[in-house]
Amino acid sequence: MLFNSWTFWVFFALVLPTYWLLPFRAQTRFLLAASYLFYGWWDWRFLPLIAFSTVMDFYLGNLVAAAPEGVPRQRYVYISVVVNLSLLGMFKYYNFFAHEVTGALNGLGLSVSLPLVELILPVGISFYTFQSMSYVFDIARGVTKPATNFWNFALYVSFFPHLVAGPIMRSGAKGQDELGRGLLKQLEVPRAWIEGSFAVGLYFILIGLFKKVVIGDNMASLVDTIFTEDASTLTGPECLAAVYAFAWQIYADFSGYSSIAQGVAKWMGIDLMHNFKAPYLAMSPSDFWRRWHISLSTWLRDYLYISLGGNRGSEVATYCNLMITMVLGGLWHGANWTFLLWGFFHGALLCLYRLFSWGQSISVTLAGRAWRVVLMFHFVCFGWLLFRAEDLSQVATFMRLILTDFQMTPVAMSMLVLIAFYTLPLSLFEIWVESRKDMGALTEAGWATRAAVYTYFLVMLIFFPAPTAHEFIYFQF
Amino acid sequence: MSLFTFSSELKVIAAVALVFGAVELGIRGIEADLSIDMKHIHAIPSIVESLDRQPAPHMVFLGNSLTRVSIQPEAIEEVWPTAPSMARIYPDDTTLLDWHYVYQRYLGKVKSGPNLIVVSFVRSQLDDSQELHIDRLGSHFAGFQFARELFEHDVHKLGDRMEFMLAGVFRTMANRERVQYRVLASIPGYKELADAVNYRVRAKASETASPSRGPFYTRLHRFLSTVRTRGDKVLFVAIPLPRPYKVAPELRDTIRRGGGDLIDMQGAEPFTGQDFPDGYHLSEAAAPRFSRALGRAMARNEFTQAALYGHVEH
Repeated sequence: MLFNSWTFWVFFALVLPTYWLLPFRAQTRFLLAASYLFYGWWDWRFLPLIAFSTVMDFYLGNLVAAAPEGVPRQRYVYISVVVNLSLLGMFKYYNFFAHEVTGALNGLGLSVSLPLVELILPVGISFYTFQSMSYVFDIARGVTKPATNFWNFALYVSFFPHLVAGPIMRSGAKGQDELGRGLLKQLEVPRAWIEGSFAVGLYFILIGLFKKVVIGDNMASLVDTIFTEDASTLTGPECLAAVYAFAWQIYADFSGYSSIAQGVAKWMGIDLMHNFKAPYLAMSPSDFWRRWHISLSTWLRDYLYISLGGNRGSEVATYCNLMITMVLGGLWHGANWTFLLWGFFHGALLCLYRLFSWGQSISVTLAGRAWRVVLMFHFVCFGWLLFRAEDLSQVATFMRLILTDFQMTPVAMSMLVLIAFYTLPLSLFEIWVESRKDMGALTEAGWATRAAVYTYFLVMLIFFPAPTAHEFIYFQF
Repeated sequence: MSLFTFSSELKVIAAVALVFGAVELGIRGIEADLSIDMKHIHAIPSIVESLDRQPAPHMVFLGNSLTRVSIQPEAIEEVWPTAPSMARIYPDDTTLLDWHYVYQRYLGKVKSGPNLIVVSFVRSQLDDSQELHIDRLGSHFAGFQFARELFEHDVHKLGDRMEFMLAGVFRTMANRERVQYRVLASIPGYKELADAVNYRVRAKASETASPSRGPFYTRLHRFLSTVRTRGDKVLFVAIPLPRPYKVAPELRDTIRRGGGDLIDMQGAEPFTGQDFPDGYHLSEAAAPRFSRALGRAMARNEFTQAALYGHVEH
């Protein structure tokens, strides 16, 4: 049940009015049932897994809260970490490691064959696993209390708008105000319909659909065409255009999903955090990670980087912590060397900027800001090449062509014009939003401005859908 | 973030609706002039009416741009003086399912018969693998009149059904593909890129399609049965392409069992690559040659003669 499918909107059209007609406690049970229906729509066999994870973390949370500080409390935290990561590892990483270990041992002359298992990756497992783990961590740190009842917690884990591709919402612990209102805390109190929610939700839904259906899917067609083409027929500008297109595809696809999730939740009186804040306007890697997939980057910062020591130790230790965090962040995306390399590259970039103090916030002129943004965008694009490539040899081929072959073909030219046609208006809009320092700035503009922008979104949605619709990229993570 | 009242947002929605109302009216006004193809689609009722006024029997050539380019009634009459009243219906980029509903919606209105429907095709245009153009089925070919049949047999996904209904109501939805193409075609190099993208999209679709022994001809079987029920006959004509293609034995078999006939016109004339300037359609010079060859073949064809005159003319 994709957000860009009619099935979802029919489902939501039935859920929304029913939800508001019910009393508070019934709302929670009803939303939980709707969320499980939503999740089971992909494959009902995934339901026991999310139910197991929910029950386990709910009771572990209670045990952690009841246990005295120190080893007994840590023991329950370890159980949560080991079981959650084992589930994630089994479904997501086992075959990769089995394959690589077998290859390595065979390379050493040891004839070993580890069995591979045929498992379907449960959609959204990385998101809800990290979310329920953060709940246990926060209780262990003493910054939050356990959920008031099981049903609230179960809904916190499975709330359908953000279930399969985030944002990874926190429960609402102390000190997490920068991440907006915690989801669990919101679910534990009655929701009130605020009239303005309609306008805000409408904005998020329309811009999300525009990003996904118009930009994401159209870019996907270009990307797939070039990345699956025989490399001997490609030119440098075609490869470069494909990398640009992928940069926009992954951003529009993922931020579009997050935005629709925000809008849908808003119409149910629940705030989800901003997961993206114009990331391609970042001037440095640390700035980029404050804007890109914020719910994951802050999760990694709070529960991994800081736990490793953060920047509290020596400079060398800080660099090591950064590298470990980013490599594991890459691995979160999937079991492939390209993801690891992507994480490594971003870790190295963060270290480099830190080493030379390039990322320090200094006031710069417009031109100074512009070249920093353009440079950072190209660093990010190189990362996306690592991320999207089928394997490392494709990365090498694309880089060789980009750096040595400058033959501008009609295909490359039309790709670049198409990328501009689809993404330039969004870029200008984001620059305007950035200047207003408010992600919802449009909802505060005059009604005629909103009508003009929404008309543009709808015109593009009607007249410029892609040749084929694509699943959201982040479902596979 | 400050909060707005619901009524304020209603103003926004009303303004957007007003713009789209104007766009819808505008498209309704200019629809017939959007392209030569649209002009032809709009002319289908009058083509059928005009044919109905002519003496029976009637022969209707049904197909796509290949029919428009390759089949010329005047050239056919040159070699077949006793040829019946003829008409051509050839919306671009259509395949069997479109023709099935065009037949039912428009040709079913021809009162005097019998009618011979001559369907010209290439490659796999008659099998079940053909992609549906839901917008056009909703707006031009099937419409609400045949929604029930379409939903029962051809369009099963909710999203596709919604698209069908929207295209049936709004001309904006029905013509969006044309508008998109008009805009994007102005980009230099777009045609080359679109070809590459379409090739990839088709390859991906065939990769993800469930492996089967195919080709299957359930749509063709239904078409034949509809034509038979109405008392008409159908003749299929395989049109030549620069590279010959195989007419599947299952296709011949389905047509024969459905009471139709097939003439394979590949090789009827010694065409070369130069006769297909765009690699697909016959040239202006080659088309009359092909039409004359088709006229001769039809004049000799017993099925055609029996369908039109109830007996074989010698």
